[in-house]
Amino acid sequence: MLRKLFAVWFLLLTVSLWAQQIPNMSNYQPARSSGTLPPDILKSTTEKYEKSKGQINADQSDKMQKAEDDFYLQTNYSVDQILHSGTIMVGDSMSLYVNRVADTLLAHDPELRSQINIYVLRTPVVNAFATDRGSIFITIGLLTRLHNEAELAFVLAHEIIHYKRRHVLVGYIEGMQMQEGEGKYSETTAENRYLKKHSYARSQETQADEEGFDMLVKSNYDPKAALGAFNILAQADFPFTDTLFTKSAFEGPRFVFPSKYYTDTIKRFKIDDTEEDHDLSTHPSVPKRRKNIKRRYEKLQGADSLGQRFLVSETMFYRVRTMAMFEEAALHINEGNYKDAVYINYAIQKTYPDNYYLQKEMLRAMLAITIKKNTGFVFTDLESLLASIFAGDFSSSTEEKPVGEIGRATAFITKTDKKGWNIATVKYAWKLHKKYPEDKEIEQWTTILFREMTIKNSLELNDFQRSDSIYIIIGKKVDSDTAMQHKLKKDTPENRFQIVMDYMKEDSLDGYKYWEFAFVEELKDSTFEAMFKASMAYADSLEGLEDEDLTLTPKERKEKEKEEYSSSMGLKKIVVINPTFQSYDDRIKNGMLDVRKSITGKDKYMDAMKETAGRCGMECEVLDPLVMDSTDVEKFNDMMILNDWFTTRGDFRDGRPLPVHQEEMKRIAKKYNTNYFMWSVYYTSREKRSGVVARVLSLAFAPLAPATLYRLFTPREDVYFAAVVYDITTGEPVWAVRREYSKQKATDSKMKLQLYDMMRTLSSPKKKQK
Amino acid sequence: MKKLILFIAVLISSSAFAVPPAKGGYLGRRFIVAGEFAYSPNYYSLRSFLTSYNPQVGANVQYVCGRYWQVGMNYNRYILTDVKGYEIGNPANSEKVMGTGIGFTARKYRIRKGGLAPIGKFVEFGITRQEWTYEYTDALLSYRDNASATIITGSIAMGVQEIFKDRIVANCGVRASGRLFTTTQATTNVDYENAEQIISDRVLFHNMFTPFAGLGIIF
Repeated sequence: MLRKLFAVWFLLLTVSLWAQQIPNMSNYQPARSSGTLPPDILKSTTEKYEKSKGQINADQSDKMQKAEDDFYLQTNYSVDQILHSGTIMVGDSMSLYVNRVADTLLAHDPELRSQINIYVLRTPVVNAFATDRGSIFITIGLLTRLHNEAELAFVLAHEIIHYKRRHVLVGYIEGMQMQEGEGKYSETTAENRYLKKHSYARSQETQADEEGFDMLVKSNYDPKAALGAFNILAQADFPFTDTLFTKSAFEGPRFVFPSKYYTDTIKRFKIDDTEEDHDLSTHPSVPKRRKNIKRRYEKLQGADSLGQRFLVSETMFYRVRTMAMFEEAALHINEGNYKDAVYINYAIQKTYPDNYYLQKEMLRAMLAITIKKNTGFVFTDLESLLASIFAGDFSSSTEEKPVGEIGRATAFITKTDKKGWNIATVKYAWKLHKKYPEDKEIEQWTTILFREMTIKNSLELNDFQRSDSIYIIIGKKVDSDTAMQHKLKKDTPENRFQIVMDYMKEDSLDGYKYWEFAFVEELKDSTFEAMFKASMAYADSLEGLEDEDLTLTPKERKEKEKEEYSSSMGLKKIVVINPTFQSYDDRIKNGMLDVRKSITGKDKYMDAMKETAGRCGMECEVLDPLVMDSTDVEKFNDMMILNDWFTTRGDFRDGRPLPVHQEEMKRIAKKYNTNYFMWSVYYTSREKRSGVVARVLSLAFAPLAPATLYRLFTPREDVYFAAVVYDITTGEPVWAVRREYSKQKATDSKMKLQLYDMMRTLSSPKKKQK
Repeated sequence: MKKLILFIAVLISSSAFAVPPAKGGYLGRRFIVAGEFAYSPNYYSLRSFLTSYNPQVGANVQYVCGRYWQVGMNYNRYILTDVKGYEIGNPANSEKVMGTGIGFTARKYRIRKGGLAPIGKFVEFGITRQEWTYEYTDALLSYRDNASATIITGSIAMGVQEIFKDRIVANCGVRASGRLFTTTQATTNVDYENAEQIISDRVLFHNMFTPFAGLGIIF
């Protein structure tokens, strides 16, 4: 009896643990900000800077005070750039949880806790960093890799120590001294200065590790988690999963990709276990850091039984981690890493096979790849190389073995021919469309995919077989080949076509392409055939138009575009998203960005937009945290969604379909009562004029001496202004402007004039078509 | 002339307030009233070219009438003190020539250089009616020479204009002009040989290359 009870208890425990680790995500909605926007986001950069300036020690030398002042200005500006760009969320489940862990960690030091704001940064990159004003950022990529709450606590503790010890400020001052060869950097070579500076940075990291570890122990978290955190760091460049990738997920009973697309042998991810520090690295090597903390851990009495792995909530931890994984699947699409997105979705779907959110994001990523493949200028070696360096895309060139399962997946996607991939995506889309017939976006994407197939790949209904009688031919083919008969016996009849084709190292057999039987099942459904036919009719209707466009010379096409993008629009309202204003000056010592001018310039830029639009009788709403109040969390979300949309939009050519959530865009357009949303940039730059000797000599030409003298004593100034207006419901740019004022002063009046001209054109009634 | 100016002023001002938003200008169609200072080098010798100048002052009223266009009227006065140097003893070479000019200008802001009226780099075309007078009195020999003529000149200028503090307009550039035709021949009462030609040439040289700078207010 007791044994039975124990067995039941054990079963229940296992189920509950499993349930905790695999939370129910069936109704998952993308993470969004909620509640109220905190002052940290809403206050102006100037206000924050003025507050930070109060920390400057007046007993220091003037030079040091100036350096600190510059630091506060730059750091506040940089942090606000992150907070205002739509890359963070507030009040969402992930942020709330991370902040609750920080509450637990700093329960003994409420004053320090009150100075710290923790944000979750929307990027798949694994990272966490602290700033001098107490804003700590932890990425979604890092959240996906955690094993328990205590690991998160250690990461936070490490960053909190960076803030507490003011490492960022001290590092900045060190950098300045190094640059100028002052203090301990005097009397040494430039190379030694760099080495010393990096050595100093490494010592700061060690301090943050050690004191962070002490904080972890003090707060009753399991100290062993610190070692786990270093394991995560060591694998930061790898994806959070290495689930086996097989191509069957993209195939069907009569549709199998040739095995030449699939890489059988791959390299495994290898952790770099070198303990030696790199001289020019700001961080000690991870094995060395781990060893150092392990030493401290082993000195703790009863270390194995100390602390707990979960103090806030184990259930919440697993839910947050899973949310982070779901978010990462979409983030890869936002960042243009569509192949990675397909793999990440594929891997998560192994645990959540019928998840609506994941299936949709998978389809979106596959659609993006289809459009890219059909556009015909992606997946070059250069693209793969750059992606692997900068974006964590593990796709590799055909000569080298792919690394990890993600490498196998991306290599497969890269190798597949565009027709095959398009067909596989149509099959997947159709399956989802039948499953979720009420979903308008899936229906829209399915239509796009059919059109891609008929227009870009010139495929028609007649290109596909309606029955699988070809297998009879295959049977005859293998009669005389014993090796083939042996192979066929092992497999199901559905795969025979594929096996024979692979055996012959071809992607077609007796004139039949491998994809010709792909729609045998689907074509039994009359709605599928109807959609296919509608797409073919659409392709036919475009033929004439395409011809007309092709008759234009490049110059005529350019003129046509210019006319289309600069003519009057008759708009009543426009919404401007995160207008960018930046001022550069190459005479500034620490970086070229003139932060003061950039801050004041942005305020003027936004004011001028509203003023000039008002003069033209048009409403102009600016979506930027600088003009929001604490209740504007919905606007904050909209800004984030729109910026994501804009990033994806920018990755595709005009006139091509977009893998975006168009229904979401329609909702936003309805909410703001306009379809027209603008993104704009305004840059000014100042630099030393070149050719000073020639100018001095030209003073001899006295009649133009005043102008020459003016130029001798003033910097060269340039202004660049660009704006683009999209109809977000169609995804197409409807108006654009780009102007460059070369060698001319950057004045407020010039900015107003530009904006007035733009607003006037946008608001003026549309000209009648000729 | 007065009637013409009044007519033009009424015409452009009525169109200025009729259709908001205006199709160009600094936050709408605007008037600019400005003063201008210009000078032309003395062409007699390299030294005089580098060191002596003929000053010119003027005033103008400009109207920003379109996205890239600005039209205006101007009035200026100049004094020529240069020496042409055919004959050292000929006072027509060295005595003052006083001139006045009244004209119309049309200024096109250069779109390729980012220009939008009234800010940016521009090219200006103008037509001016100039009257010059020359007078020489020799007290010792008790005689008096005088001459005058009316000519029409065409000009082309290149420059840049800027607005500061929403109100102050500043510009600078270089203007070149030449005689299109003479409306009234020089009326002369001079004893010296070729005096009319010499004075005409002096006026022509003055117009050839004129750096200018202006300051005004935009309404």
